[in-house]
Amino acid sequence: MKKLYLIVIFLLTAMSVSAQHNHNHSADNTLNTTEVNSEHSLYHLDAEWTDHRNETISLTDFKGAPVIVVMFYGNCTEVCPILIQDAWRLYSSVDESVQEEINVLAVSFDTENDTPEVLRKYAEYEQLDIPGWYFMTADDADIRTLAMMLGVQYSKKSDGHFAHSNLVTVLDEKGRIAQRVEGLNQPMDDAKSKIESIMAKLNK
Amino acid sequence: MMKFSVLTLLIALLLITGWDHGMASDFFQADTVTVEVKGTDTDARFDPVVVAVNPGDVIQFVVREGLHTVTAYHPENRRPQRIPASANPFNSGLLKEGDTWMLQVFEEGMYDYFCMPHEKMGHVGRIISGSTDAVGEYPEEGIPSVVLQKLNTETEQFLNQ
Repeated sequence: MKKLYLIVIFLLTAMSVSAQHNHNHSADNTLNTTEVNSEHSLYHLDAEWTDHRNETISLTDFKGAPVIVVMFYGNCTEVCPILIQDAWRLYSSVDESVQEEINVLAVSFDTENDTPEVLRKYAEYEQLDIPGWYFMTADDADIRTLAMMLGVQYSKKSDGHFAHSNLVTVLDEKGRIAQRVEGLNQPMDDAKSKIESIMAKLNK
Repeated sequence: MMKFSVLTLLIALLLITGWDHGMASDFFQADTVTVEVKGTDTDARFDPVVVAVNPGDVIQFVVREGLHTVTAYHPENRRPQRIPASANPFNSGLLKEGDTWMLQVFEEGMYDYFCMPHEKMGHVGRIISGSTDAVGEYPEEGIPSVVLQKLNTETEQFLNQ
């Protein structure tokens, strides 16, 4: 009987490491997100941004439809590609008709390296140089302000890499924070529903 | 009484894991091949890069160091498709040192995969499922040259072993 119990325990242990599911690790270099006021609109930020197409844009250009925002840096060899993938998972989870209405802002906090040209190459490499996607940069102060409003923390390290929060944010049509998805590889169901409900309300 | 509790435990085990009889049966009959995931930056690599298995076998990815993913070349992962047409795309999500992630392949053919953080550094791998005759050609468009070079070189070495 003891043997049988041991087999069961062994199976439980084996299956706990073998299940084919996504992990959510608090990776090294991960900073916590901070609390935000979801009543404030990010569109009050009066900053000039440059996207990977080298076009000057303002956040208010995106007013009127939901927006997905993610902050990252291009030289990241750890979690940023996964963060971008998370934003892609959310974007691709909604119907094509909704995709055509919404936008995705991938904002780099590495002003030293991520020039519009570098961001263009990044977008092309990631096969995200597509309508509705904007890889953006701006002045340090403006990026920092946006990060604070989103509740994203980032800090440059001595090796040139960044410690940072991992966060995907959905803004409503007025630029207010409607949904936050913290961590990596998280389910996007709630964020997807939020986008769809905003769009349903707008299309009434 | 004891027999009953053990049986209950076993049934609960299967229910908890969500496995039906067929899946469990497949798993226990399959061979398991181990691929180690090593390196932290430019030295990131799958070891071995190329493995040959039979359909139904399980590939066990064991992360020795660093942060990595095991991600299929597939449009769902924003890459051209380089797995059999009828195969399900896969993506491990972030794996870190000490993690083990299992992949079971069912179709015959070539499965090319990459590590999201280190693809640019040639951190890619290939599974040959079934006969090595399954080694064929996938379109090269949209694939970094470092990836193509790595896969071609390693496959050639593997086949010449």
